[in-house]
Amino acid sequence: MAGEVQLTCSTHRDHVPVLAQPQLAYVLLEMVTTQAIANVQMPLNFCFVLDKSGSMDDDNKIGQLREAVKHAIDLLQPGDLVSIIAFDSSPKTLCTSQTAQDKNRLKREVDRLTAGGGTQMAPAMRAGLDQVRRHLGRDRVNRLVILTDGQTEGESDCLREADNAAREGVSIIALGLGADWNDNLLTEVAQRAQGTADYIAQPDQIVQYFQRQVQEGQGAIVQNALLTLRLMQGVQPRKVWRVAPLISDLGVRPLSDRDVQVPLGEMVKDQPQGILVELLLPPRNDGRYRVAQADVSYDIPISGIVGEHTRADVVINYTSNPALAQMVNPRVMNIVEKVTAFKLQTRALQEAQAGDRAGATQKLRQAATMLLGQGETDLARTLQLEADRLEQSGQMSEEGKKTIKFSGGKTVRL
Amino acid sequence: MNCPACQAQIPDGATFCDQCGASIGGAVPGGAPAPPGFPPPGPAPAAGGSTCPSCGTPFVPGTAFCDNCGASLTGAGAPQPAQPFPQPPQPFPQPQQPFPQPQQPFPQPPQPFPQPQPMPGALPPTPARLMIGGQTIAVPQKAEVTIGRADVASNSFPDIDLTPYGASPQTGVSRMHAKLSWQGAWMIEDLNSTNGTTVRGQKLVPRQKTPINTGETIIMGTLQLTFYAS
Repeated sequence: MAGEVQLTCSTHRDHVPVLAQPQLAYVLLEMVTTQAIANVQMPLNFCFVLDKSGSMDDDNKIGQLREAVKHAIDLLQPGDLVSIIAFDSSPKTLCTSQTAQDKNRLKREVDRLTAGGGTQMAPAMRAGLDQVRRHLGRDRVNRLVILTDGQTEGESDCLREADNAAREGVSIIALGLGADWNDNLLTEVAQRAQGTADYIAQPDQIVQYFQRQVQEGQGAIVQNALLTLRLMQGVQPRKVWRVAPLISDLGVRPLSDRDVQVPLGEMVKDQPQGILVELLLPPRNDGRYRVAQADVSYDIPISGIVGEHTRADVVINYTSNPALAQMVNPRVMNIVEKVTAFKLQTRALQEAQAGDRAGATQKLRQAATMLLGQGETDLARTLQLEADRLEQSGQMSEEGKKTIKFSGGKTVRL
Repeated sequence: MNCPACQAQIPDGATFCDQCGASIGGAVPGGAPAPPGFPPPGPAPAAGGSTCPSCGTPFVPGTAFCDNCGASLTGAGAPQPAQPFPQPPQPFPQPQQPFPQPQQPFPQPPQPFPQPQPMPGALPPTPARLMIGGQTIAVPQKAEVTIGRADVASNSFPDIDLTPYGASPQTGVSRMHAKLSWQGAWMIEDLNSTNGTTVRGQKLVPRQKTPINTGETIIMGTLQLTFYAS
């Protein structure tokens, strides 16, 4: 079967000028699952790894966490597998890995979750991995969902556990609550295990984040997606960005002179994926050219589909007509601008960290101007506020830094 | 069969050449009936030929935003089109100006300019105006007039708001971009704008007043205005 994934290409310009020198073109590739798999769901093999340290008592974080886990249990299908580990200085298994048949019993176990003790995440990750390992399978989403509100001891052990998880095909979602956790650690843990990290500003938002994790897990039916670009002679790939659902630099893996591969990983049902490719085009005369052929291969393990393909051509017209060459595709240009704003924010955080106050302030303001123009007013306001704060006191706020780091990449909605 | 552009062997019925990407047998859009192919090789351009008007970082034509400072590059440094084949080779690329410059009848010396006698407090005798794209903007009859782009979010309201005339972050116009002032003669100064102000082909030193004469062109970001003293 084919046609589970639809691939479309657009370029920032339909027509580019005929030049004597190479020029840059931006290509937007959009992938979305089709009706063919609308009713397919991926069974879960989830372990919730939950921080119950003493600080979770503040602002009734522990109460909100209990409610969020119970809500997540309500969303599980009877065939989904779930286990729950609570941790302070040591891990405690609230539920061993089991199907979500008796939801009331599972929820009663969640009520045993009370706050107290220190924070040691690595042993809890190991305990969670032990639970997920019991039912490891390629036709399930094997995943640890970690929530913590504090700094853990034994950070290098956490990274080792993340590597272990990745080796066994278990992904990690790392969620930080409030301002006092190490965002670098959680980001690194998630990245090593093909997952994502995110920032939950307020305890009453935990429920949304857990809900999204369950729904995205159940929707993660397309696995091992791999984009291959076969380029026209003379075309060079410069950059590949994922732009939706999150902006990130994907890197380019050259296969040969004319082929590059971009690993896309997992695709969630009904969640459009956007990839922005910067290509350096060679000089050409007037005419219509296929500058690249895009091919996405993917598996849908739950339907027994392996190595299916979808393809599309990237076609550009070279023209000597300056009026034609000036017309841009505003949709693609807006995305290019949002990626630029993201780059500025990332560099601003690095420069602020390194003590370059002026450089960071200027980049934050530039990004804010761009995002205001794009209607991203909340993020723009945070950037302006933090730029002012940095300029006046030399410091950004922890909340501001985390908002920029984790919301800065969420601006593109396809 | 063979590709008409690069002569590579391609399968019968192919719509594009697998080697050079040229369209096979399709109509050539854009009017020019040149065969698909390659422009004559000119002298290799060193770094793409253009630099960011904001920070000076070189960029490749077609780049939308500066890699270094994020400034919008759309419309900036548009390189000269190559001569399509067959044409005698041209000595391109031309040296690039950051913005298209009007021809100047005579070169002006760079800064500093002699300051005219100030007449503090006095107002201009006749209302000045700015022309942009065939439209006229009246300059308020005040001793000092700020020009830029109104922005409610940052509470920035210049005397002359260029937003209706195309000013935006994308066109490189700052919120407070430049200032005209009357000191017995009209002066202009750049208010430390992100993308700078250019008069008589010279980029102004920020916060330094320069005389401006009637009929002269002011470039702010990518917008081009003409100043008339009356």
